[in-house]
Amino acid sequence: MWGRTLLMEFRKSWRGFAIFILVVVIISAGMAQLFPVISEAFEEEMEELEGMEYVHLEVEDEIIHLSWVEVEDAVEYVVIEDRHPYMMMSREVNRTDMNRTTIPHPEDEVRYFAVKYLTNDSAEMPLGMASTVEPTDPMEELMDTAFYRMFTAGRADVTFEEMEGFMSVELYSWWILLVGVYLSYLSVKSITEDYEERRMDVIFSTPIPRKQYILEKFSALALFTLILVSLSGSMLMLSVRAVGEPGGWEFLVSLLISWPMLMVIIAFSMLFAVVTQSSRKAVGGSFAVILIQYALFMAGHMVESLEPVLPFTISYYWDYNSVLLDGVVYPLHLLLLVAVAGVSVFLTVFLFQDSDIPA
Amino acid sequence: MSKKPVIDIRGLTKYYGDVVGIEDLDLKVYPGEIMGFLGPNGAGKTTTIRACLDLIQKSKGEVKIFGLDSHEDSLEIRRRTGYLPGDFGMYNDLKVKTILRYLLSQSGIIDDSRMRSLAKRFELDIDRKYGELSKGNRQKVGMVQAFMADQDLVILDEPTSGLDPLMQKKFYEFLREEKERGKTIFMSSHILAEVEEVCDRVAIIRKGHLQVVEDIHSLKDKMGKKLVVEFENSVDPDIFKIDGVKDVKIEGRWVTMIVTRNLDEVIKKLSKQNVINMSLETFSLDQLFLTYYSRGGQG
Repeated sequence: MWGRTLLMEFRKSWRGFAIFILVVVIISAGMAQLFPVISEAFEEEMEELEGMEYVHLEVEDEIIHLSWVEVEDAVEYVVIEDRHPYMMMSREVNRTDMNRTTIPHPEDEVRYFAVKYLTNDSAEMPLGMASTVEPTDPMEELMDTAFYRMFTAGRADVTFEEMEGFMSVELYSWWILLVGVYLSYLSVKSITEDYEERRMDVIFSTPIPRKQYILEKFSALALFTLILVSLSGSMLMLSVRAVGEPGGWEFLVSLLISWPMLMVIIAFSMLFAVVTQSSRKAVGGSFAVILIQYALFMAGHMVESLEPVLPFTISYYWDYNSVLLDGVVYPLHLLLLVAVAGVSVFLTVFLFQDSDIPA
Repeated sequence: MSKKPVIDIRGLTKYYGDVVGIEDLDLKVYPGEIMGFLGPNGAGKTTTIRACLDLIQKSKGEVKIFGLDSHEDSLEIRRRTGYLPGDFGMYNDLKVKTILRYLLSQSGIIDDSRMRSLAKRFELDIDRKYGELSKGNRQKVGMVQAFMADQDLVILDEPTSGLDPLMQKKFYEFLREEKERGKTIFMSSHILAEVEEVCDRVAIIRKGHLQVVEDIHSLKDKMGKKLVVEFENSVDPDIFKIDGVKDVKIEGRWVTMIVTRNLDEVIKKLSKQNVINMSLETFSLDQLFLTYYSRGGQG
């Protein structure tokens, strides 16, 4: 009878489903609540380098002359430099008790400097920053790097100043890991547990066709995923509105269109489960597929020569940025994902149909 | 038997790679009988049963159940066949009644009154979670599951494994009642006494090959009786060279032999000697089984 196995899947797994939905909803909606704090921080940094009024920089004959205001209780000044204003990879270039120093600058390279001072009680205090170029928005600096493009799916117009850009990087870019990995685990387990807990013989002593068994398991997971993306998307939309941002529909739609991609993950995982008949092997195989395709997707956006691999990743066809930033949905991409999921399910049924169920 | 067999296995062969599961097996089970299927571990009992239910694909041969092909018509066969696997599991976190109703519904049955009455008969609490049950109670779940849809044929793989002796007796009684109701039962077992108690016929399998299929009583007759005699003085073994007497062993004044035919003539010969003590034993199925295998299947 159709639907019984689907219902059974919900009966045995509803607790796990509910907890996972709750976690994903909290992460999705909660992320939007962080936006005002984060965007404010970025806006502040945009105006100027911190403490630039206390540090003066002049370049003359490939020598940088750096000077700063004297601080009364300073015993020593420390100068660090970096190529970027966020000073994440900085190195110390000078340590002096005077309020000036010179640093060679043989090439016309962009340099950012920060001056700190040490007090009598060995405390290290920031004084100010200066650079060889006009100060720019550190976010824009970051956005110009290939590293950043890994997290924006190749888009250069993703900025933390807008909710769409913030959510694109902070939620959507790793959504496939957050949701896909657990879904893959659930899909594998839904079949391999029946093998490993020796339920297959009992199930297939009843007149349920093997095809129906696979389709019902797939339908249960597809339905669960639809509930998951709908709830997460809706709560995210409400959360976006709660922080005073307009609209919000694009956040719901871009999560809803992750459904076909997640279907592919479910179908692949079930295929692994039927082929290996082992949780360990199938989970390992499907996790590897998800992580490798994710790594390729990111690498394809970071390294130009790897761009041709992008169409071979499933993440490529879930274009959340086009919905978030341009308000456009590409139905052909989604249809392609549905087709891949369909072919995987067909293959799973085909292989399961005549396979031996181990005693 | 002139009736059309419920299970008709011809030349059934199953290889697991290079390993022989079963080879060229022929077996018929007729309507209304309880057929026992005996064999040591790894003999091929479970493989045969699982091939009948299309859980594994046969390498060669033909299996017909109710005249239907075991693979092509598997669904129709399963609609009419109950099955208790030898080693099975259920959903540990769910109540027994939820699991049984789910399985029952797969056969298109909504009414669970037979399931409830079987559970009551086998003293099974269906309101408990499966994972909380003891091994014996889990076996009862399997028994109820196999019979709850009231199908024409029930296949049982080691059905009383884990049951206490009292429950085993109840189960044998139940099997006899089911037979009276016209059900056909095909059961594998290690417990020879169980087969002896409930089965009409027995098939013995060894290393994937069927050794014998016999009515239990005629099998016992064929195997003969064990005659042990104590004489006053030692006797000439030649006096027991009678057609139907074999395995004559003499230890001092004690003589042991197997008599399959001409018991009357043996008694006449004995009457001419001074006999002090004598016993005539019918083989139990246990002894029969061991004897059969120790002779490599030469009854």
